[in-house]
Amino acid sequence: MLQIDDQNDIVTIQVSGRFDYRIIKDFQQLLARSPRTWIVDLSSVDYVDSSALGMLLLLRERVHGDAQRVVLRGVHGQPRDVLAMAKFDRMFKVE
Amino acid sequence: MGYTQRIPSLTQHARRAPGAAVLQVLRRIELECQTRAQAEDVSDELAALLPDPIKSRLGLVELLFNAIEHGNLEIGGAHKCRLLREHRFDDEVAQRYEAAPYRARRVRVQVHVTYPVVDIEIHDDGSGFDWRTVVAADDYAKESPNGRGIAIVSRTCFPGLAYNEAGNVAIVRVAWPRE
Repeated sequence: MLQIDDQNDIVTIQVSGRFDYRIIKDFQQLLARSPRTWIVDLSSVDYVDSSALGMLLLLRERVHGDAQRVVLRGVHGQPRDVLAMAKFDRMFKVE
Repeated sequence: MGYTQRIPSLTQHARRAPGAAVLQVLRRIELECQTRAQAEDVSDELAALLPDPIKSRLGLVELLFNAIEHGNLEIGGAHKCRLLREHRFDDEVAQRYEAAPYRARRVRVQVHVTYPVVDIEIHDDGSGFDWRTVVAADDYAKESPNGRGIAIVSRTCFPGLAYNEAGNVAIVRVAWPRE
């Protein structure tokens, strides 16, 4: 499930539960926005799959690969392990 | 977990390790799926029997999705990348579920148990792929929005992941730790 907060040139995407292929369409709809900074709050996510990694990379493409403009917040548990394996800490700002 | 909820009279040992208890009396399981939703159901059932259900669930989902998307539905990696960027991937998958020749294809999962060892084979109806190159590839930190499934499986879920020569049967061996 996705919740959006869009203000002051910052879009915060709060993902809950599973961050997987089922929310690709909803996630992609968000990509029409063009804030300065994206924050993806994963503090309520307990499971990611490779589709989630793909969605984050599509987001990164929206900011032309600028790691400082996409913040991954609250990463823990299984998502932390998968993101670390994919070396996402080098490609995103992880808080 | 799931088993103790469904069969509350299981022994104390079974409540501690339901997968291990069931596998001691189980020899063979066969499952079949066509869609990604069905693949999730298959993964949930099997992962509940394995030592690390969370990692195993992810590994099974990734292997089954690969078998469906790339094997049975013949959506290649570059094509999937383009469809994802154009926001058309889900529609393409749904369309191919219904179209010939893809609609007749299934992914079959065969599980052989020789406790504490569980051998899992995932067969698809595609022509296979150069799996050795994909498994050995170290470029999973690349920028593409797809192509990380196998790397996730072989590095975090099932370290011994292999395929048959053609690349249309994924082979996984999982072992429960001996008591």
